[in-house]
This record gives sequence, structure tokens and C-alpha cells, in this order.
Amino acid sequence: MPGRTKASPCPPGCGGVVPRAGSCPGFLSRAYSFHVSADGQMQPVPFPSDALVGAGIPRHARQLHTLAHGEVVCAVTISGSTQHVYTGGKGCVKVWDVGQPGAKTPVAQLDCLNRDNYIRSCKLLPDGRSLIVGGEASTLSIWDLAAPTPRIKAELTSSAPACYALAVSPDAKVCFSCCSDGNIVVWDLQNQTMVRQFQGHTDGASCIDISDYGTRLWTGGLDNTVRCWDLREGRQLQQHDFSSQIFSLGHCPNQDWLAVGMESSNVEILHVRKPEKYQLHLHESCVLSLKFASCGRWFVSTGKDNLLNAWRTPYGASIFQSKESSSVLSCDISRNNKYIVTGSGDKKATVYEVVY
Amino acid sequence: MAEKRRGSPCSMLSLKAHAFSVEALIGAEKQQQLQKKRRKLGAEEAAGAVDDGGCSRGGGAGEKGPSEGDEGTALPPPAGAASGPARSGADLERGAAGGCEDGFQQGASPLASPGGSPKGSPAPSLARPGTPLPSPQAPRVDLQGAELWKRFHEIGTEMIITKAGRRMFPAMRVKISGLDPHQQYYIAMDIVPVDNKRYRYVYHSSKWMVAGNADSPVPPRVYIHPDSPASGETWMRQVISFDKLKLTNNELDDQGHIILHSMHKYQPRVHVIRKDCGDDLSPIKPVPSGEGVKAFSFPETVFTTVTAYQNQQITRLKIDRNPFAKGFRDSGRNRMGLEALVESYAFWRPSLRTLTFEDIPGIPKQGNASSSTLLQGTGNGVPATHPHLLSGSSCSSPAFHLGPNTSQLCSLAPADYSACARSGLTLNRYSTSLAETYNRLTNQAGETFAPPRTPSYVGVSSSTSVNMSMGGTDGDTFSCPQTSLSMQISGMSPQLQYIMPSPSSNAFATNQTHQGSYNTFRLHSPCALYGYNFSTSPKLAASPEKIVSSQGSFLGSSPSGTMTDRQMLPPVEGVHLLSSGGQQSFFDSRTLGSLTLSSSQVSAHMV
Repeated sequence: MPGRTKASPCPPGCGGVVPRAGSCPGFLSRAYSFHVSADGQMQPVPFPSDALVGAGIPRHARQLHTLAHGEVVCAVTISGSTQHVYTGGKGCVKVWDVGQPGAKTPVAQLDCLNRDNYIRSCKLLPDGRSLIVGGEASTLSIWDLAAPTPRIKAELTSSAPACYALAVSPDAKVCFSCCSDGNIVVWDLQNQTMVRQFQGHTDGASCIDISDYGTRLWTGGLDNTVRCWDLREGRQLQQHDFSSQIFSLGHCPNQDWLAVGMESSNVEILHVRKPEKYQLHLHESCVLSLKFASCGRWFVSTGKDNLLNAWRTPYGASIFQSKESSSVLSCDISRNNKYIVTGSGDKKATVYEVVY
Repeated sequence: MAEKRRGSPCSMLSLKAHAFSVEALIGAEKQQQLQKKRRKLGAEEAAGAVDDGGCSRGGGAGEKGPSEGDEGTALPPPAGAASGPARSGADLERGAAGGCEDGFQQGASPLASPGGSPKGSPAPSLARPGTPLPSPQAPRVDLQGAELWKRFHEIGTEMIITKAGRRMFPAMRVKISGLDPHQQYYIAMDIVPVDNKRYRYVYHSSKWMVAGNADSPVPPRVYIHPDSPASGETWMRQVISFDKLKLTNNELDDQGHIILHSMHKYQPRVHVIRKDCGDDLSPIKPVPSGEGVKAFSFPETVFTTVTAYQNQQITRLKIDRNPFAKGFRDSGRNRMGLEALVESYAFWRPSLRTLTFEDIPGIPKQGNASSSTLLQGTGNGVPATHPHLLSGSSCSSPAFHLGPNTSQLCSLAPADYSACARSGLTLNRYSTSLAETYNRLTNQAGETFAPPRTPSYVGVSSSTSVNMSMGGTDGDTFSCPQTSLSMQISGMSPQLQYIMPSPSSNAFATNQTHQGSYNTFRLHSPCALYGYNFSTSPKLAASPEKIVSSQGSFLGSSPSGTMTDRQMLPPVEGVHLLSSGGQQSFFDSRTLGSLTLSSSQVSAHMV
């Protein structure tokens, strides 16, 4: 049942002001995007004219496929070739062929964990031949997808009871695991050994992203902090404190912005070097996942309020919204920015086609 | 090693970690309730409920929070078996919601209402987004004024508490349905902690941060609605208002007020108690539990207790919305004449001696803010926020002594209003002057100003800036540009407190002779932010008359031929930034005067 997303509720130049529902002339409006300056002054943002139109900016998204995983889908990823989608649910990852239309059944199932434990993150290596899976267990599993049937290539065992998030370095040499005890474990993928741990978070580390140059790591935690780590020096460089837990984050691929999704329903776009940020208020509940398009000009966030929001970097003009049937726990954007995949509390994943 | 999350997740994980468990992320309890309801009620009702909810965002649809009343905290495992009906229900809801296409968010469907997830779900009784589908047996409670609560909630609602007791704004007002018309009920309210933390407000980042663990529990208090007991029919006929309820921080309170700790987060709850279960109901005992007792809470009514407003946006919103503070807003009349002023001062003078810090709203008992100069030395008009304007200074009652560098304004007085007749002061004309001041001072940008109720952007000069002055209904439009305004407003009133009790002396003589002991007013930014600095002298030398005259001229209506001009600095566009020298007597009396003047009309306290 492909559904159309709702196009942006407000035209550009509107200053982040959204027309109210059911309104008649003289309707109420409310700004949802605010710029917060270094001294804490908050001002609604007047969007530039190219906020919602322009090359590389979607107009809306169309639901293409529904993948009935059968368990809450906490992790999704889409292959570089956009042929396959991997959905992580309880105990296993299911592989789906989305290259052609038609009803979907999994083409493979990767049993990673006990049946009762959720997969929380799955990440493909850049070459698309391996999948790293982490979840509510102490081991990460690395799967060889190039084999005739996918099989485990290696397991990485840490001391933490669970892994909440994974990231892979652009050169595929190293992978990073966010642990429920707050540590960020750095694994050497070739030797399959632990290189180091970044310690600092005082509660679980929930999300992670690597800056585009591969030199810095950004993590968000349940201790209300976002931290920046230098990968070469192995130490914490920055810390941002918030009043709410951080559930998701993403670093813009080619600009100095870091998007943070919070338990308080705010999405904040921090500048990584300057003390300014944008604060976006279009979610009504926790922001569970977040992902930038590879072009960096837009990103999506998903929430416990069942919403998938697409935003303009960095000021957060709302490009489109999609309301799903349940909390949206995970999302991914294909490298060619043509597809968005979301994982839902309704035990399914949805593949959207991005319409430009 | 693998964690088992079934059964009792709470015992396995910390509260925080649990909020990140999959069950919490999908709102498992909400879903289970949803499924139960869907199975019980037919599809028509579901559609009807969606319609009922309407498309207005937060118009009440999503905010209705009837819980089933039970205090159980166990998270039910996601019911796989019920996914069938759930899915069909979901489809239905999509279809129905699709009808409200112009909704900002698809229908804000009550069936899948976000409802506000509790922080750390193992306390669902506090903030459970209940199913709004009414069933004939179960009472249902709808929050009135949910929009306003939501506005506050988005900023972070704060409620002032004092030793003597302070009413809430907004007040809890609900409509109940689903009662047995012939049965007798008590309706009561209590306020329970949201978590076991205490908080502090970090000004430079405008955020609330956890600052340790909560203080030891307070004595339980229940506010029983004065109309109790009454028949279900009586209750359902009217809006039930708890506006007389008072919050206090006095643990030894014997007035029956609700006792709370300051800087803690609380959740109000409404209880519907059948008369036969009401034997145990008492204002000083916890609300009884049982089959005939149902509790309802609304996540958007969570608030943090303060003795002084921390976030100036809250102050601003309180001023804007509280009808008792109507005098602050632009009433359209400009009665800033000298007579009017003197008349209002007459109110104050007699009470000067008896004024204690408790009388002055928002003055905190606890010193929680560091002293910092309001003037950050940005002499070039860079607006800087003054969270400190609202912070509590470590004042000790009752004298107005502030350290030389303690430039804190005791918190926002004007926002503290209540219907309390104690002071007998009315808030009149405050908003007029405020508005005018604001208008004048922010007019630099050359934008025309609408009256303050109509939001407009300050400092946004690009052509794409939006003037959000939509006509039509007021009320819901809380625009953030006014946050900057709130600074000035907030700054003013506390100022007032100090200004007023000045000896009646010749304005200008006073001004000149008391230069050293002036309460200097630092004008912080050219735009709309003002900072004030107080000197230690209780001889608040900015006498009313002087202020009046300056203000009068400021507003363009010269009240009298007083020596305004002498004191007036050359009219400036906007606010001067005074050098951060501390006790300076120079100030832009025009702006100063108007500001203080307006604040002088603030009544003693507001909620």
C-alpha cells in the first residue's frame, strides 16, 4: 500500500512556520525551527528560498515495499547497490531483495543472537560483502555475504552486555561499537581484536557516527551527553551536555553539522566547531533514529511518534513527513539517496522511494 | 550474558537504560492498551474516535490521558498474538486519519497518540497516554486548555512555590465524562514526583540539568475538590477546576496546601473516587487506591517547581496568558500619566515596611544563581541573554540588600500573579508600558509593530523574515521571538520591587543626590534585551516621579512639565549599553524609566 508522504507543510520563506491544522484565514502558526546562538538566544529561522527546492532536495517520498519481518525492526540497512535490505529484529537479521517489485519474503535469515534478544544495529562494510551485527548480547557477529549462503565470518566478544550502535570506518579497517555500559569499543576488523575503548559515557552509549574524514568519532549517550573523540589520539575532544537522553545522531557527510535526536523529541543540529545550533520541534516523542543523505543536504529523523521527518541541512526546514503506524526505531538512506528504509514497532520495515 | 528483557526489565536495567529498551521505544504499554481497546470496541468507534480527535494538533485529541487507573508498572511483553487485530486497527486508523488531510500531523490520531512517553517508562501510572476511546463504564477525563499546557510544556513548565502557598498557572481544569450520573464521587488532585532527581537550570544553555538526587519525600497531600462529594451528573455538567489549589514548599504547612520540593519535577494527577471508596480520603494522606478510585494524568502537565522562574520564556508566556495579569498586556489605554503612577505608588508605600521577600513574587529563598553582571560587556548591541535576570539571588529577607556585584534580579515578579487578594494590587497598565517600550525599543529595525500579543520577529531583518502577526485567535501563538522580549519584561518587574518603596522626594533631586546609591539599570542590548543591575542601597533612588516623567515622555505623552528633560539622555534608538561599572547613575532614563515605571505597577505577586 504505497502511500504518499505529506509534502512540507510550509512553503519556503515561511520562517519555519507551519500552518496549523484545520485552519481558516488568520490561522495560527507556529515556528518549529529555531536558531540558537552562542549566547543562548533562540530565534525562529527564516528559511532561505532554496530550502525546499533545488537539486538534490527531495519533494516527497513514496512507500514502495513493506517488509514483514515479524518482529520489531530495531535495525535496518540498505545495500549500496540498493538491491538488498537487511532488517534486524529479534535474534536474527533478515535479508530482502528489493530490486524488483512484488510481495516480499526474505531471501536469507542470519541468526545472530538468542531468539529473545534484539538486534540493535547492523552495518554493511563499504564493499557490501560483509555485515556486522550487534545487539543485546556481548558478541558482535561479522557475516560473509558473498558466500553462497551468508555465514558468520567472525565474532567479536566484549565485556559489555549489549551493543546499541555500530559504525564502520570508511576504510573498513575498524568498527566501533557503542556499549550499554558506556564504553565505545574499537575493533580491528582484519585481526578481529579490540584496539581500544573510549571511556567517558556514564551511561549507555546509544548512537555513533564518524566524521566524514574518518578522524573523529561522535557518540551520544543515555547520560545526556554527546561526545567527540579523536581517533588518532584516542581521547575525548568535546562534550556537549543536554537535558535529555540522546537516542540518535548523525554527522553531516560534507558539512560541519551534527544532528542529534533526543529523548525529549527535539532534533538539534550542532555546529561542530562553533557554539551555535538549530533546534527543531516537529517530533512529539523521542527521536529514535537519524540519518543524513550522502549529499549532506538533507537528513531524516524518525520518532516514537510514528513520524518520519525529512529535513533540510542545517536549519531543518521540513521537506516532507510520513506518518507510520507505529514507532519508527531505525532508518537508513541508500548511498544514492533514492531510497529510505525504516524499521517499525509494527514488526515491519518500509522502503520508500524518494521523489525529486 | 545476554540480557533477558522480558518479565521485569526494570530490575535488570537502570531507569535510564530502560528508557532505551526496545519495549520502551515502541511504547509497548501503549500498544497493549490499544490492542485491548480495539478488541473490545468495534471499528466504528475507532473511526469515530479519530474523527472526534479531529485534525487539530494537540487540540485535545492527543492530550487526553485517561489511564485505566491501575498503578501497575510491569511492562507487558509485546503481544504478538494481538498483532492481527492491531494491524487491521492500524489500517483503519490510517484510512480514517487520511480523511483529515489538512491536519498538520496526520490526525494526531488518538489511537496511536504519542501521548507523551514517560521518561523511563517504569512509571507508567504517572504519564500513561491512555486510550481516548470512551467506554461507558470507565470515566474519562479531558484536560481543558490542553493547548496552553502544551505551550508551557514545550518550553518546560515551571510553577512557583512559596511558603504561603501559590496557585498554579495554568490551573488544572478538566471535564469528566463516563461517570454514573447517580453515583456520588469525590474528585481530588495530588501531585507526585516524576522522578527521583533534583534539577538545576543552566542559563547559558537554557536547559534543565539533573543536579543530584531528590530530597527526601514530602508529606503526602491531596487537594479534594471543594464540590466533593457530588453526583456524577453534577461533575459531568461543568468544567472542574482546581484553580484554588496552592503549592507550598513549607514542609510544616498546616493550611492543607500541597507540599513540594523546589527544583523537582512533578506530575499532577486527578482522581475520581467513588463515594463508597472515599472513607480513606483525606488531605493529608495519600490518595486511597482500589477499585473505585481512578487516577488520570496528562503528560503535558508535568512541571518543575521553582521559587523563581528560570526560563524567561516561561515568564513571558505566563504574563501573556494569565487573565489575571491582563494589566500587563497592552490594554490599549495609555494611562501613564503622572497621576496614575502616583496612585499606584500609593499602594506600595504603606506596605513598604511589611514587604518581605515572600511578598515579592519569585524571590527565592534559596540562592541558586551565581551573581553575574547582567551586562556582559557587549557594548555593541549584541544581544545577550540574561538568564540571570530570572535567577534567584541569594537574598535574605527582608531587606533589599544585594551585593554590589549581585546583579541578579530576583526572579520574575510580573509573571507571578495569582488571584490572591492579599496584596489587593492590581496589575494595571503594566503591559501597556511594556508593550510600548518594546515597541519603541525594537522599532529600530524599522518594522512596524503590532501589539505585543502579535508576535513579530525582532532583529530579523531579511526580507524573508516572517511577521507572524496572524490575526484571528490569539492564545496559541507563542512565538519564540518574544523570548527576547521576555527578558525585558522579566527584568522590569523585580526592578519594580526595589524601586517602589522610595521615599517621596523630588524626583530629580533624588536622582542627582543618590547617584552613588542608585539602582543602576543596565541596558543590555539594543534590541529587546535589558539587563539590570542593582546597587546595594535600599534607598531606591529612582523615584517614581522621575520615572513617570521619563516614561511619559518616552511614550510620547508628556504627563507633566516635570523635569524629564533634565534627566533624559538624548533619545536613543534602542537601549544603551551602559558600561559595566557597577553603580552608575547614568542610564537611559527614557527606556529605563518606562521600564521601571511599568514594572512599578506590577502587583505583588503572581503565579
